[in-house]
Amino acid sequence: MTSIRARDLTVSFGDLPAVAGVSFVAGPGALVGLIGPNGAGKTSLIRALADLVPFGGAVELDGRPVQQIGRRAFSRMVAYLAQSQPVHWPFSVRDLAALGRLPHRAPFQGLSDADKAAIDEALALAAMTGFASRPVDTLSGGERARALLARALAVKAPVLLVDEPIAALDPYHQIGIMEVLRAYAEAGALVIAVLHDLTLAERFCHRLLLLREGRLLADGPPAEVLVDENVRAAYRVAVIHHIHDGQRVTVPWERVDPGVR
Amino acid sequence: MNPASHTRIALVCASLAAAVAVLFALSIFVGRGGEWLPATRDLDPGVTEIILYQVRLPRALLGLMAGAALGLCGAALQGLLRNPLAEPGLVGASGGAALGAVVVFYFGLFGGALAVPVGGFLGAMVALALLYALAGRGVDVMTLILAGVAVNAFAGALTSLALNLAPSPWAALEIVFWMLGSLADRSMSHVIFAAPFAIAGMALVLTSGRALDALSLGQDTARSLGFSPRAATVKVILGTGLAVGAVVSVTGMIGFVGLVVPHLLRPVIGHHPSRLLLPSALAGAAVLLAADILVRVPMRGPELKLGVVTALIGAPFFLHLILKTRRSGA
Repeated sequence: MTSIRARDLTVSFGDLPAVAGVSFVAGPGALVGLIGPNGAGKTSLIRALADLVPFGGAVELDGRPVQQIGRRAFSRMVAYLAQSQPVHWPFSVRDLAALGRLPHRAPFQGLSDADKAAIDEALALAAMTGFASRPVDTLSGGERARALLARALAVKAPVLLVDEPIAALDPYHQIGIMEVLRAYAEAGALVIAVLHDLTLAERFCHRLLLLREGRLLADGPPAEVLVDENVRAAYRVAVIHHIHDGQRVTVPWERVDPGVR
Repeated sequence: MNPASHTRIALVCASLAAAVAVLFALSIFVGRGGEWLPATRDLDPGVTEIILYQVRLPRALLGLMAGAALGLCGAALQGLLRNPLAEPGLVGASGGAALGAVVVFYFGLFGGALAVPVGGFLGAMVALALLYALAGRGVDVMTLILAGVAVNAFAGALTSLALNLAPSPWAALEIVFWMLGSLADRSMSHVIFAAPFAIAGMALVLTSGRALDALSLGQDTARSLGFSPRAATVKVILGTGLAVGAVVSVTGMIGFVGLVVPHLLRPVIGHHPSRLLLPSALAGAAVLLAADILVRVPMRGPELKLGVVTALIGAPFFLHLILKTRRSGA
């Protein structure tokens, strides 16, 4: 059970600010969607939260600045799944997931029973148990995404940060991954996911952070964030809303400045 | 493919260690033309002792050390650079060692039996410093590879210049012969000179295993798993520079062992860089000891140089591996 707090967070590349003063608090048990147009600073923000880029302001885990938390302890508290994550050797899916246990293992030590249980659990959660012995380079895009997610889940970290986990996947696999992320959050973790699909973000996330030009434009439950005014301001797109089974569905429909190409 | 278990790796290591022990013994007892010493010739016991302890033992020890260093560092560099074509020569240490040794030959600095190794090792260290200056503080793989290529090219050019300007054909021949790589005619003092650097370098490389596994998923993920890509890079490059610089400055250039050995082992123990390190060191030692026994077997003509034999066997074998990999689509 860990909460994360960003205080006036800034990330810059030279003189170019990518994130310009973002503050929020997020606690356990929530799937938080980080949304915004291309270049809004989503990846920079999530990389700052994962302590992978130099940042200004503060990132705190349970009230402690990340700089005060040792690298190893931090790696057990926060798991990170990069956008288009490379896998440089053709590991089996199980061996790939086992890499998620590295923060828990001492040098020259094999997998403990707890490690093995965590790997089994992660593979089951990602529906990859049947693929455990398959080399990663023989998987389809959807299977590969689930295998990579299993690696991040195997860390069993209370905070999971994922950057565009459903990009380039078909709807079946997109929904499958979103279900896994939501289930992991509802089991007690905090999951922050960078997302582009507004419909799925609204359907699965408990809360959305909408970024525009490095700043938070809106923060709250999906129904409050994905209002026409916010989406127009951030994405220059008009949305249509529909009610299905009592839940609101938001679909991006048309550009609001169609003269510009 | 079955996930390689720890027992399987232990079994592979035990088999390889046994092979190394047998080959080490053969290296001491097998002589020119496959002659078996001490049984076949009726030599004075004192002469036999000299041959065994002052000729064959240092040769076997060097084979063990050089093979282990090349195999280990090859596996570690392939892991660090996430590139199956990486080999120990890439960090410029062997090119630098060759240049250093050639400078000693060229200027006739024969200040004792260890002049060439000392020159070679200094050359390797200069190359390493140059690599560091070129690659900078970053850990970008491409920059590192390109800096290694640049250092090797520069060392190669200067070595060629020395050959070009060699004072006599005899000097040029001496240089070329040294560069071909051999374990023959080395003494115990060569072993004692190279051993501390080789052992320290290998120890440094061996500690990088888990970080190399994490780096298989890229630098960001390695950091998120609690490892510093920069620390891993320093360990592997510095360790390789020390170990390979030390052995090459004593043996001359021995190619293909570091490149091929990890490929030989991957089908058996999988792709984890950490799991490949120790077996690659053992297999490297076995391969080099075997090759060094092979060069002694022909009865007539000049003894083949070890570097020539490893390249003659290694290059076609490597080609075979590439074709096999392409066929399986991996």
